Amino acid sequence: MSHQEAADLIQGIRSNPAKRKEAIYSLTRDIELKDKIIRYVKNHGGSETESLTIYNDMIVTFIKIVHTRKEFTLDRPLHAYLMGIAKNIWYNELRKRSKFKTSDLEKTIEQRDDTISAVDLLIKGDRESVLNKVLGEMKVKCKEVLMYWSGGYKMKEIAHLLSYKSEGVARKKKSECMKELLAYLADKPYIKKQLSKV
Amino acid sequence: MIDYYEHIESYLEGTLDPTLKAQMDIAISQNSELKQAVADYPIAKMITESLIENEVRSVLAQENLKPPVRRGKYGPWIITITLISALAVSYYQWNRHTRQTKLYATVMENYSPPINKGSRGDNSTGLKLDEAIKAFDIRDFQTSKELFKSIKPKTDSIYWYLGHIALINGDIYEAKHHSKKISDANLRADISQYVDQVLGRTK
Repeated sequence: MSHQEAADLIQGIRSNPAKRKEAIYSLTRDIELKDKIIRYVKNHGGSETESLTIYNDMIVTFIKIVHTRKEFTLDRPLHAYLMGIAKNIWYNELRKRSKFKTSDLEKTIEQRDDTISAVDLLIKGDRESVLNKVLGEMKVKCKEVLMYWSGGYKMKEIAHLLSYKSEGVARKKKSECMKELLAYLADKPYIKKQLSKV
Repeated sequence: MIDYYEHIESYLEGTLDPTLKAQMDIAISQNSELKQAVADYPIAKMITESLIENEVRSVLAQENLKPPVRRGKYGPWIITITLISALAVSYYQWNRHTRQTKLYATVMENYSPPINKGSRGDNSTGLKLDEAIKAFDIRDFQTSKELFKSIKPKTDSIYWYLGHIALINGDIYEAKHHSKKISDANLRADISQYVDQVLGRTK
C-alpha cells in the first residue's frame, strides 16, 4: 500500500461509518498482511484460530488509535505499523497466559514494538457480553454522538459529522445521552458490578 | 443554573475551577442522583469508549474473517507435474498425428478410388443410390457421401463407398468405422488393407 493510499485509509477511518467500513474491509482483505501475521503468531506458539483473533484485534486497535488520536500520523509504512500492533497484542496475550512456553515469550519480547503506544481493547472476555447488552440497548443517535465524543472529537466536528444544526445542539445531545446512560447504570447495579469486576 | 453533569469529568480529573468544585461538592452532598452519577461516571465513560470497538467488531463479524486460501505444501509440485504431463500428452498426440499423416501419404500414394459398376435400383432408394454412385464415379465425393449417408438401410456396397470416400478425405478412423460394417470379407479388405497399413504400424 502506497503512502497516499495509507493516508486515504486513515482519513476514511476518521470521516464517517461508511468510509470506516470500507477501510475495515480493505484491511480484512489484505492477504499479504494476513499471511504475515498468521505466520508470525504460529511461529511464536499460536494456533491458526489465535492468529486470526490477533488479526481482528490488530484491526480494532488500529481503528481505535486512528479514531481517538487526532494527531496520529504514520511514521513508517502501514504494514510495518500494523505488524507492530499485532506483535504487541500477541506479546500481551502470551504474558496473560499461565500455560505459555517461556521460550515463546522470550522470542516475542525481543520483537515487541515499544514505539507503538497501547490501546485497551474493551470488548473481550467476561466483559464482552455485558458491554454488548448495554450497547445493544443504547439509541443509535446516542451511540453516534457518544462515540465521537469519547474519541476526543470537538463538538463542532461532531455537529458537522452527524449533521446537527450547531455545536450547541451536538453538546445538548451528548449531555442527554450521557445522562440516559448514567440513569441506566443507576437502575441496573448488577451491570455496574459486572463491568467493574472485570 | 449550573448543569453539574457537564462538569463531572473535570471534577473527577481534579481540573475543575476551585469555586465551581466547592459548589459541586455541596451539590453532590445534597443530591443523591448526582452523587450516584459521579460514582458511575468512570464506568459510563468506559462504555462510551467501547462504542468504536463495538462498531468495528460488528463490521468484522459481518465480514466473517476466514483463513486465506492456501495452496498447501505440495501445491507448486502438483501444478508443475500436471503441466509437464499435459505437455507430454500433447507432444505424444502431435507426434503420433504427424507420423500417421506421413504414413498415410506413403500408403495412399498410388491409391485411386475405383469406379464401381455396382447395383442400380428402380425405386426411390434405388434412384438415390444411382445418383450417389454417379457422383462417386465423376469424383464428386462430397455429394456422393451425403447421398450415401441418407440411404437407409445401408448395404455392404454403401459402406464400401463410404469407406473409400473416407480414405480419399484422409479420415482413416472413419474409413475403419465403415469397413467394420461390411460383412463381405473381400469388399471389407478393399478398405481395411489401407486402414491397417496406416493404423497398424502406428499403434
